[in-house]
Amino acid sequence: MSAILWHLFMHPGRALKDEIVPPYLHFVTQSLGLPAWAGHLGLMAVLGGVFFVGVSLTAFWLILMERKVCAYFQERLGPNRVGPWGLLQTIADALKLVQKEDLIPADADRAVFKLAPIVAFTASFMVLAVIPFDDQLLAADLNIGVLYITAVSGLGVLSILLAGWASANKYSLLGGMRSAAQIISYELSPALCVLGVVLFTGTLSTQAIVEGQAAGWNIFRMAPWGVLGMLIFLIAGTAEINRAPFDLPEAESELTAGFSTEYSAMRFSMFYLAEFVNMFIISAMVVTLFLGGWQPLVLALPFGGWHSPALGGFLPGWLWFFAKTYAVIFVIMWFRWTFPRVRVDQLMKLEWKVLLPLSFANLAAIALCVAASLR
Amino acid sequence: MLAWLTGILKGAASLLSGMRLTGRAFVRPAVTQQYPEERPHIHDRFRGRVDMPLDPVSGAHKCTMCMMCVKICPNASLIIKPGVNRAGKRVLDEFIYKLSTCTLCNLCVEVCPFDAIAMSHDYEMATYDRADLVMILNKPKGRAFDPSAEFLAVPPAAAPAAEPAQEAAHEPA
Repeated sequence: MSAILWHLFMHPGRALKDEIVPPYLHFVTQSLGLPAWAGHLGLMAVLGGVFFVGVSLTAFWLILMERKVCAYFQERLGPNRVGPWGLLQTIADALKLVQKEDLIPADADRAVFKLAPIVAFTASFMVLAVIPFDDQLLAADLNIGVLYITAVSGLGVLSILLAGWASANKYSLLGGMRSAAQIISYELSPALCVLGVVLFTGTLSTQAIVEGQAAGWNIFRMAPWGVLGMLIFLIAGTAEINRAPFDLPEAESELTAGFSTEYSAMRFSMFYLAEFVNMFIISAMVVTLFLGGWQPLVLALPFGGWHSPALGGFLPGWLWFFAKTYAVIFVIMWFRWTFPRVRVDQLMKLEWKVLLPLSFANLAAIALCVAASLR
Repeated sequence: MLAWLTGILKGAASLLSGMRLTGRAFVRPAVTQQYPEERPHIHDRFRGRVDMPLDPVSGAHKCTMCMMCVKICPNASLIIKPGVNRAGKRVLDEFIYKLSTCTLCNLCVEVCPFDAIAMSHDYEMATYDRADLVMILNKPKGRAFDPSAEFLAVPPAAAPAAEPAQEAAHEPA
């Protein structure tokens, strides 16, 4: 029993896949007299529930972390009254939001207004399916995982446009249109950075990309192009999730709250939740593509050759994954509490005149290096 | 091309210097005081509301009803009600202090020839009722919440800067 628990701690993915889920699934379907597909359907439902709870807890934690990190950057203490160290602050906020009145403006397009937050949450929820948390621990190992992420995360802009349009409010519409312009621009350079990694690893599957980094993280093996690619991906990712300094769609000093102006209560909290889950996803993507995912620290020379033994391989992989992801999240928060919001023209200039040429050059350089190492 | 590259590098450098600045603020300890638990540091010459300290030995106040404080008070916040004791001697009955109009200017304390009144270190002066701002200083209820010496202002001898002002206040009298 303790061996299984230890295995579950060290390699949760493998333990669940080999030792725990299949026999229990078989036992349950057998004893209930159900066909095998019903068992799998039930497993999917349970997995969905686990992910939903996990996502909610992550968002709750991130909201608290954001407030605490913000406070420390401003030499304050942050929330510290509700629960020990303010740990229950987000719970209290959520309870307040649940009790609030659910308002829909009289002129709103009611169906679309109600749909928008669901689309926002679904888009960020679906991406999590292909994030490898540990060896074998991912919901779906798609062989086109990276493409899937790029496609599904594009749904997020749809939700913002829907919300902006349906609210029948000039601030909402302006916020929605700004967001569309921003996200369509900023989809390009991250895609090119991802393409560089795909070129280097030769696969589109997120799990295979992480497994390929056993001989050194991609930022080491692709240096210096990996570092540049990661920076571009991080900056463009920050813009894609509408976080400061690129938070123009909800710039409160210009647009009150942008696309979410007319939203209240639970509908607003869905947007809020999606925003923080998106931050987690961007960080998890950076970690998966460039920082070795769940792999422990392995130093390596660029493009093959020497690599060090795994440093810290005695720690479970999921711990590595979450430590790295939260480090990246901290950097994104650091951006937010340091930089002032850019103007729309500066935003467009940054993407089209700086990031896009740089990422094209980066991709070409990676292609040349890969071609040279293949010969 | 070169200008474009140097522009990018310069921009990155300036962003990094900004992040270094906020990063230093992040590791610096917070300046916040946890008010109800952590009491603020009150300086010796802090001017809280007027209080009437009692002599620690005799337990009596030092007011002689000379009315100097009442005369100098710029907004009539002090009222002295004289009374007569059993021996027929004129004594202080009520020393009424209206915190609602007081500006904590310290003039009454400086003019008092016997140091009968002092500025206390009481800074929590909010009340639910305006009537609570009218206090009778020579009655126990009207004193600052802790009449111990810690809350009394320093005697003038320990405050050299206040000396000349006090001399000037004495001369015309």
